[in-house]
Amino acid sequence: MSSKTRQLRRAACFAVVTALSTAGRVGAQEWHDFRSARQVNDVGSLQIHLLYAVGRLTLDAADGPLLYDARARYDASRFEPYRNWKQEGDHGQLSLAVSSGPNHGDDARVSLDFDDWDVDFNLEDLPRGDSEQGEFDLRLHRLVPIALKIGAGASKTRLELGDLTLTSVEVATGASDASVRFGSPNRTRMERLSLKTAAAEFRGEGLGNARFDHLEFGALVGDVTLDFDGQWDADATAKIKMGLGELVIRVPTEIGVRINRKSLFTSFSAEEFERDGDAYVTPNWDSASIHLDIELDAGLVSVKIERS
Amino acid sequence: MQGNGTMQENGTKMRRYILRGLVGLGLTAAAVSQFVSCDVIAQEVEIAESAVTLSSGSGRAELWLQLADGSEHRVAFTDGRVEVDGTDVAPYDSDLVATWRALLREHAGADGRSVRRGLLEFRDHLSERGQEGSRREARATQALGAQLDRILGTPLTETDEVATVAGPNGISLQIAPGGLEFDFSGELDRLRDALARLSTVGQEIDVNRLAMIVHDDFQIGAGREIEGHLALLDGTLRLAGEVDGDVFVLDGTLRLEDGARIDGDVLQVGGDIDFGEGGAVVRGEILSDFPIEMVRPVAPVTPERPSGRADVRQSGDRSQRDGDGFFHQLGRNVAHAAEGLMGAFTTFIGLAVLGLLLVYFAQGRLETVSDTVRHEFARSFAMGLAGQVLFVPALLVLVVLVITWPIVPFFVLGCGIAAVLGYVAVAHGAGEMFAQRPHRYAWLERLRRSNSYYYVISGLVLLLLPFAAGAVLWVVGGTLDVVRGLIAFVACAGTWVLGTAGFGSVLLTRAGGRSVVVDWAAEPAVDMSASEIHVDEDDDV
Repeated sequence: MSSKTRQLRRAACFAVVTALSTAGRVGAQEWHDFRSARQVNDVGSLQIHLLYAVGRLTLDAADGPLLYDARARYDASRFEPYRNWKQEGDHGQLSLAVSSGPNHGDDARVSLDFDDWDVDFNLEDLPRGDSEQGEFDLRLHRLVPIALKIGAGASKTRLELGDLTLTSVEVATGASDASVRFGSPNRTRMERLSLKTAAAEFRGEGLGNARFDHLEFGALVGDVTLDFDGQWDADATAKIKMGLGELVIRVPTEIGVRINRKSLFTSFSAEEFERDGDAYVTPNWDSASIHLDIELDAGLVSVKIERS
Repeated sequence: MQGNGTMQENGTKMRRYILRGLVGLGLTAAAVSQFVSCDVIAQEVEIAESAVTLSSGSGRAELWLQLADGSEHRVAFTDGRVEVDGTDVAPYDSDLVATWRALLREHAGADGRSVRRGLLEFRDHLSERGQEGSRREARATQALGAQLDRILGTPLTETDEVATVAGPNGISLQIAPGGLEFDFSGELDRLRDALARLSTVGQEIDVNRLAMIVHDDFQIGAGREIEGHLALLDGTLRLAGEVDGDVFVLDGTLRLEDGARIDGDVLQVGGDIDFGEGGAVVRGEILSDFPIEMVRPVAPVTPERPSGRADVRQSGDRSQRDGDGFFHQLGRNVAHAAEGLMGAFTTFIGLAVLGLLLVYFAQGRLETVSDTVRHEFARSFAMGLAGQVLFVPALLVLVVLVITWPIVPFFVLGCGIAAVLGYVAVAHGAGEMFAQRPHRYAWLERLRRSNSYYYVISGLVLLLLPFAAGAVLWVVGGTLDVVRGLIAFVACAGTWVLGTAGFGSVLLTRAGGRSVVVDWAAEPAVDMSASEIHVDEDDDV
């Protein structure tokens, strides 16, 4: 037998073993549909804490009597649904998670810490999974004031946060493809909007509709678009940090925008902006009734600012 | 009832509850044989379509129905008589026709469920009239009610069809409807399985509070209260009353009418739940968990958009490109491929510049390291592996011994330089081997060069080629994922092996300062050690 034939045979054996092991893993999956919902009843405000390890995550507003409606499709051989509900007076606290349990691997620490309401999601701590088949869909009542905190290691994240009554939003996502969108104005002013992403592709859309006082955005690496379009009704500040990649910031023409840039190796393009000392400002900065003050801290990033 | 997120905490308690509950339910099995018998009721049917005819004054007031099974029915009040499906059923008075006309006006054009609800209300009205009015009126309303029951499949009253048995700990357990055959032991198994399934999502269930089991079509009317949990095993349960506990839905359909109230949770492991038009109240959680029998590919998520969203501004257009069309997918694949190729090319340029500088300034050392890798590969790999293993302990020692802190940066930098030098030396060796290899094709001979610059460049091309090949495979997308994965694995593993050998070779040769290559083909040196020299002492004499 020639050496080439031997090599081919070894490669074939390796491929077969790999295929069989993959098939065995797929066959061991045990899919479940899970739903947890609750009517509004006497709940006047709500805090939601959501941790989702893997799959596709969607969030939207919903009509009807339900305060929240969470539906998940998960592989029960690897993940477990968790939920916790507390109510003090008219204030509800909801914890939701689909993550690896103590019997399933390395997400256990995050899951077990989940009872701590003040837990802060760090990008490096987010659970990761390699399956794209799981799903988590969360629908929220439009009129109940909600403070939302989401940690998602999901492969795809689509959050439509418009037309809700959000008092604060904190999203940390390690998804390879993530978008946070405010298609309609938030029904109340939001004190703080925090978005952290390790996503390869991240889109923040309609951020003007979020009605935030202060935005904090952090991205490690990737392709990021932040669109501040929307119905602006008050001044706001934004702190944007990014390590490596491409950042496109779109701002509406009707508001005054100032950008303070702190970066060394950044390619910066802001065609319709004027230099004002160390800052870049839109021509209508002095005359505009609403102002957005952006502090930009970028590493090796190609930054493009557009007015639309 | 409050859901708890940690399954293990509940496990013991859950098992205890289930055991106690099952023992209790088992004790009641004997008593179930004492069920109160009653007539079998008709199956409930759906109204698919309806039409209303209302003549002015005291003229004809008719409701036409088409049921889900396709059958058609007419209920008409005309000329002082009620006709059902063309048959004269009973006389009516002005109060009854007024109620009937009000019903038709209210539900004209409404959907089948609404019409059904109206008819049920009318049916309740008939029952009240029958109890309050004269014997003649009672007979008339009874006849009309029976016809409506025939059409709608409605149980006359729920109280006649409940069998009450003595449950565990003196708690009475109701079986509804009581007149139908009920396989208690079989249903007990189903209940046990359902409770076990709910326990996996951390749901505590106190089976001792089970007050009613519904195993076929049944109605709990407004004003009635079930004190405890209720389990729906099959059939359609129309709930307009109150349940002071949890409702388990194992199978069948739970319909919550306006005014229904559940103080506990709704726990579903099968069947359907119809929450009606929002007039029902569930104080607790609505929880379900179903296993899916077949693994099916999940379609891309496209969240439903309420129609009111039509005026949403589509800021930016990237979200509109989420559809995985062919060209979109192809574009993404090409972008992935270009990204991978660019990465490989950038790495190549960086290492090539470094390699050329090394050749220019330290050709001798580079060649020594390269020759060592080629001729003493196993030794170099072993030394490199040992170096990698010892790197962290050595670094720890340097850190712990405070006095050695100034050395730490130099140590780390030195190791880094050794690794890069080793990799470039491996590339040099690979290029040299490629150059010395006889080529099958004439055109490849043109590439043959014999200098270190060429060796480094061609060697780097060879070493980075698998990464580039893997990147190119992105173009064909998921169809060759396995092949791409294999290539990536081979490329990474090969890079680690060769890099380790190069690193070891740098250590062995002290950065190319000495040669350790053993020329196995050379003649062994003559050993002139004193012990083997025979000296004839007499010679000196």
